[in-house]
This record gives sequence, structure tokens and C-alpha cells, in this order.
Amino acid sequence: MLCDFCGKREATVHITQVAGGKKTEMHLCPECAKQLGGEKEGSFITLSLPKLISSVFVGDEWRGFARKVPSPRSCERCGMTMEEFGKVGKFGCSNCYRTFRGAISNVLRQVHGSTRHVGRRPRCLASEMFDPTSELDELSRLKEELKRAVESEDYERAAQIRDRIKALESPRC
Amino acid sequence: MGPSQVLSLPLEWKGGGFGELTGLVVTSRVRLARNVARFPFSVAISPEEAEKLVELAFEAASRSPLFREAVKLRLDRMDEISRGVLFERHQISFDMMRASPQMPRGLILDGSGTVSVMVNEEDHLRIQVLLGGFRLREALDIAFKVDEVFEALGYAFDDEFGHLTSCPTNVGTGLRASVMLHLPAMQSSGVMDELLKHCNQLGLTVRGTYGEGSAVFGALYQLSNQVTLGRKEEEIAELVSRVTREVAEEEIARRDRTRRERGKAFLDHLWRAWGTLRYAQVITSKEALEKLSVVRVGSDMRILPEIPMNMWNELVLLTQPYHIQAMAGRELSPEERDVHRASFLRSKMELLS
Repeated sequence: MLCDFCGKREATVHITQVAGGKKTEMHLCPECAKQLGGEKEGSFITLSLPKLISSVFVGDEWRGFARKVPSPRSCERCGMTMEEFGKVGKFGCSNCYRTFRGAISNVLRQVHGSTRHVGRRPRCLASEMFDPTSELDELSRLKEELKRAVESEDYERAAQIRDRIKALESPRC
Repeated sequence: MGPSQVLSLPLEWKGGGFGELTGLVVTSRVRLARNVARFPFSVAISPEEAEKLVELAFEAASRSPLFREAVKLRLDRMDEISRGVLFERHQISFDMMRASPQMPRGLILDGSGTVSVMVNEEDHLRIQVLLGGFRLREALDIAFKVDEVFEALGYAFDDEFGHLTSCPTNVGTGLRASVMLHLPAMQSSGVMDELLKHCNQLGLTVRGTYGEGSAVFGALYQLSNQVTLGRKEEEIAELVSRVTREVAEEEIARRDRTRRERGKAFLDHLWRAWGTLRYAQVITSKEALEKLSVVRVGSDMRILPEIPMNMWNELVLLTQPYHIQAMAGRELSPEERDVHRASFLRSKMELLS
């Protein structure tokens, strides 16, 4: 059996991690196991999760995964590459998850024992929503207008503007 | 806002919280990591975009009754001591404390001193609820309400992966549920490594006093979940709570055993710590915390005079380096701090004796 990380050397270290109520197994060669900082415990080692994640994307080890699941070279929205991710351990934008979906799925399965979110969901998604920036600008414009209407004692107009501000300020979802 | 104003802001956990595992569980904390879909994550965001994000988050908070008496702060425009005080109060992270004036970073604190929302941390929003005592579930319910206030900004959410976070260790629920535990007996019996191993197997972890990568002070450890994906928020909080009860039981058993086995030497150890806090003329924050940890045990075991949790929390908090300087109203050298700290402790311990 070949190492799950480098895909080159023979796997002799076997890791079991219990996560999400499920047991996940990983088979590594001694070199990769050592690099991942796992503490040897018989033929089993336990890995710390952040260490695993940050190591997975670096250099040769990353290619072991990448070969299994081909991914584009960089994110088209923020330009982040997997190599850069390996250095900082953080993604550049939400689109990175889409770009590297296949590869990140593998990693998430190893570290969280799952790839599927089962918790809370926002009541409405960003794609279905108004643009808060333009709305904010609209709001400040209306407030200015309201001030002018009050100053010129045009109370009918002021009441109309106040209603529109109220509508904008009430939560939408 | 300057150091003296920050000192006077409300802080719920300081009150101590009552009920289950008092003294052993110092605080309960829930954190949700959230990002706004339209903006790049923290490593790629421009100062202009970050500025807009702070503005939007402050605006969203203003519209909610939850934040009616909130304080909105700009960390990038704050002095170092004020930021340090907020960090020692556990209201901002280490990263936020070291805010650079070039990157806009905001902080929203609710009127009860329970909720803090960091803007432009590792994630766009870090919603944090911090309560005194063992109240994880209550903290989670409050966090859910705060979450709804900011979701109007348009969260980065994926059908499969859930909430998308800057670092994949937080993806899914974006939840970290943690308790601050006081474990001196387990620490001195050298079983912390074993506990950590056990926790790792369950998808949990144990960290230092100020979170990831920090050292342990006064035997205060943070127990929290590590797995954030594939479990419901309530399940995560329940698992952390369950393990908390197990660990607390173990700690109590070990304290009793130490008392039986060491007899007079144990009593001497407790009273000497009391004596140091009561009479020392110069004391470092490290030694102060060590001794405060010992007298906590003495109070919990009803050997020393009782130290109510609100009093103990105050002693722990106000003897921290930034708090000492904020109370003095100026920057102090480490040597000066040790003198101020000792004098403060003497005056407080006199009230307890």
C-alpha cells in the first residue's frame, strides 16, 4: 500500500482518528508521518488537526492529493494558488472553496471525519440578497433629504421619506 | 476611548456565575466565525474594503435591539494599553490586540458585557459570547441570536461545506465552544498529555490560558472542540459539556487524594500561598497567578477562608500587566508593575482575611 500523502513510498504507519462519530483511517510512510508531527504510539499515531491541515498542502505531500483529484492552478476570483495556501494556511476568498473543492473535500474528510455541514443555515443566502453597500448609500442619501425637507418645513415630504427609511432599515430576512 | 474607560466597561464573566462546578469552570465561551461573501477573506482584503466592512457591521448592529447600548470601537485607532486590557478581559484575540494602524479593525461590545464581535479578524466577523461559570448552552443560544443580526450582510455559505472560513479548520459551523477550566491537581499529577490525547480522539482539544498556542497560567486550561464540520452546534456544545463534567470530577478526586496523602504539607502549601498574596511587597504576574491558583483550591476545599468567584476573577484580571498599567494611569516598567501588583493584592487580601 502506498502512502496517502506522498503517494510514492510504502505506507507503514496507520492512523485512526475518531471524528464525527466515525473512524477514519490514514496510511502513511514513516517520512510523511514524521513530518506531520504525529506522535508514534505503536504503529498508531494521533495527529493534531491544524498541523495536518497546514501540512497537507505543502510541496510533495500536496501533490499526492492533487494527483488523485485534479484542481485548477489558481482561484479565478482572488488568484490564490495551492502553494500560497500551503504557506499561509488560509484561503483568499469564498470562491477558493469552489475552485479547490475536490482537493479540499479529501482534506476535510480526513480532519473533520465529514465533508457535509449539518448545522445551522443562514435564513437567506448572499446570492439572493440585496447589495448592502448600495443600500447603505441610499440610506445616507435619504437621511440628508429628510433633513432638508424638515428644514424647509415640507412635513408631508418628510413623512414620506421617513417611511422609506423605516422600510430600508427593517431586516429583510 | 482610553484605558480608564475600557476598565469601566461591563464584563459579565467577572461576576463569576453560580451553580454547577463553581470554581472549576471559570468561563464558558462560544465563538462563531463568519465571512461576508462579497469581500475577499482577511489575507486578501484591501484596507478600503476592510473599512467598508467595519462600517457595514457597525450599521447592522445599530439596527438590532441586542446592541442598543453597545459600544463600537476602532482598534486600529486605539492605544496599546487599552487594547491590552481588552485582550486580558478575553474580549479580543491576540491578533486583534496587535492591530496595525493601516488595517481598519472594529469591535462591537454589547451593553451587558457578554457579547463581543470582532470585525476583520482572521475571519470578517468573530462573534463571541463569554459567560461566567459553566453555561455553554446558554452562551450558544445568545450566539445564535447575534448571528441573525449579521447574516443580513450576506454570509459566505456553501451547501455542502456550510459556513466558509478563512482557515479550513473552522469550516462548517464556524463554532468553537470552550470552557476555561482550573486544573491544578491534574497539572501537578502530570496527566495533561493523557487528557489531551483523549480529547483529540473525540475531536476536542486543550489549549493554554489565552487560546491557541498560548502558555498556561495558574493551571487555567481551555477545553474546546476541534471538529467543526459534520456535527450540529448543539451536539458540539453537549460533547464539550460532557467532557467538562468528566474532567472536573477527575480534578476533584485528585485534589482529595493529594489532601489525604500529603496531610500537613498540603495545608502548609495552601497557607503559604495565602501568606504570599497577603504580605508580598514585590510579585510578578506569573507568581501572582500561581498563588491565586493555590488559594482557589484552598477556598474550593473549604480549608482557607472563602474567596467568592467574583472576587477571585477580579484578582486574576486586575493583576495582569495591562490592567496594572491602566489602573496606574500610565506606562510602568516591569519592576514598577510588580510593586503595584503586590500592593493591590495586599489591600484585597486584607478584606478576605
